[in-house]
Amino acid sequence: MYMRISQKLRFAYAKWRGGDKMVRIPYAVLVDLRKCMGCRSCQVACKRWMDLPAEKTELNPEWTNPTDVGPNTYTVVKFVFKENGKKDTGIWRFAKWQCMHCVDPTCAGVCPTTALYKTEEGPVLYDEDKCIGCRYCVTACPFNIPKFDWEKRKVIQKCTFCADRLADGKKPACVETCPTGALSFTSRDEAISKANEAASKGAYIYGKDEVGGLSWIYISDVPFRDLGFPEYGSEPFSLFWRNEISKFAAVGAIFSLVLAGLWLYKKRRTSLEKEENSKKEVIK
Amino acid sequence: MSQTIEWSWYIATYLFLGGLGAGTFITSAVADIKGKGKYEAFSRFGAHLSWPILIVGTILLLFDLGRPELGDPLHILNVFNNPISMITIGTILLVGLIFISMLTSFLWLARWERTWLRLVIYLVGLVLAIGVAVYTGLLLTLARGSPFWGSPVLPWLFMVSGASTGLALVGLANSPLGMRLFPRFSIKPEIEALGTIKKVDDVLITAELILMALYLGTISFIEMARGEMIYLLVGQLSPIFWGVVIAIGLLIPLLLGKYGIQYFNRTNSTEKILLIVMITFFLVLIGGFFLRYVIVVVGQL
Ligand code: SF4
Ligand code: SF4
Ligand code: SF4
Repeated sequence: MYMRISQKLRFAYAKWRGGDKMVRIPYAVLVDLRKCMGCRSCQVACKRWMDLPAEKTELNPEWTNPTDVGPNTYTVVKFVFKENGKKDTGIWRFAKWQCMHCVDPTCAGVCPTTALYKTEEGPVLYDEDKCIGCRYCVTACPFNIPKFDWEKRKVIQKCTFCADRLADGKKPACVETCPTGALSFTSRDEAISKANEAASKGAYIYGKDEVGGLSWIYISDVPFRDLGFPEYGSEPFSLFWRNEISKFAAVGAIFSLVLAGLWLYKKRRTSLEKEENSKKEVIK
Repeated sequence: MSQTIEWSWYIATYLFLGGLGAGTFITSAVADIKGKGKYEAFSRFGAHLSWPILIVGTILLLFDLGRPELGDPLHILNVFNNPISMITIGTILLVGLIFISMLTSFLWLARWERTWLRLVIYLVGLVLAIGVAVYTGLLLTLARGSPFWGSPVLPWLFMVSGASTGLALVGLANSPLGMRLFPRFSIKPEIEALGTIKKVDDVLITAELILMALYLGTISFIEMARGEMIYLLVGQLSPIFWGVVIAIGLLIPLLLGKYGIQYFNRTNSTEKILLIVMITFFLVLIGGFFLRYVIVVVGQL
């Protein structure tokens, strides 16, 4: 509680100062899907700020365009049509998708070079001077976010939380441009309390606990499962690591116990057989 | 969520060669420790094969990297930065095993004595080899975004498969090809020793079948991996899985070994038995490779 009040104060202070300097608290973006109208302004703003080239895309039945984040696209708005039973009717929902800047990120946990790292303020950043291009982060990220840019620069590409803007006291470009207020940039604590408030009124929330907590927290009026968000438990990566290793060790222990049992059994049987045979010989 | 297939032939081949090199070392060391010279041809053959295999694997691994940074050869040392990353841990184990394996290979050429030091070298090597074989699986298990790999049984499956392929490769020392390549190490077919090796390999194959069932069993509980599971069992990759991994790599070697040898035992033709054993060993190697391939690729769908 103390932490929360102090962080709120610091955040308010930073705002009052005009935000010309970054205050070192964990930030978050609160994504209220109930307000999103699918204009894709954030997608465009991200491209502009990050100076990413356009992609040649095709109209696809899912309407999400491009279909996924990629080396030249750090964020996409996912278009989801939810039928309501009657023919050709239903509701549209739009979900902005980008790196979640996990509190305990899997990508940084598996990266052998520490090229990916978590910052105190929230952004999970990438240092291309360290990266060797093994792409373990690509296979390991629970949201399949990092993408390797094979064509141009041979680096991992993903949303940076606009860390450069944050350091300058600005909001991320996508948040800045959002016309409906679906995206808001706050401290992580405040985002969570707002999400909790919405949840108590019956909304669904995502990102509070998933994989140990995310820095992008979502509120929605439809279940996240319907929006195609993956369902994860609340294990942060370090705990996941420990649990998986212990499970693996347990499986090994059980397996070797079974093998040892079988071996002892066989040994005993052969010795019994020998005894039996020798007895028979005695009888003869 | 769609994934791009980032790890493909290179990584699958590397995972296979890593397991194979480790398995070859394990076979060679265990044969020497337990056999006390009885299986010398196999021990020697294994010792000389293990490190080249591991080095070829390492080269593939380097080729697969997206940022080779030719300007700075020391750049690759960044791989040792993160002590909880399986790539960091695995690279340390791999380098250690290559070193120990080269040492044993050299000591064989130098006609080493059977002393306590030999045992110590073997034990260190065995720990490293088991580590290498197991880490190739743990690497995948810890990739949280690919739920199809998320089973604690997978590393053991790879471990047993590595040991089994290693054993098969060492067994091939007695094949006509092996004998031609390494005439000094395998002068005549050691039929009796070969029989033992074949028997152990049968045990390993059976264990592999059980582990495979357990692996698929644990994965079937993961809801997010259901699509991948279907893809593997009945989808596009199912011919490779059922045909090559299960049938050619596991069942046929097991049955051929059992009934084929029984049949030729009656007709008493050593030559044919030898041929059959060699064929089973060859099939085991093929199966081991495609096991890595299907699991690596299906996990990223
Ligand atoms: S969403 Fe993926 S890339 Fe982003 S911080 Fe989490 S693990 Fe890393
Ligand atoms: S590709 Fe680069 S950033 Fe990703 S895990 Fe490998 S070294 Fe780390
Ligand atoms: S935070 Fe910045 S990099 Fe990330 S999606 Fe928004 S604009 Fe793009």
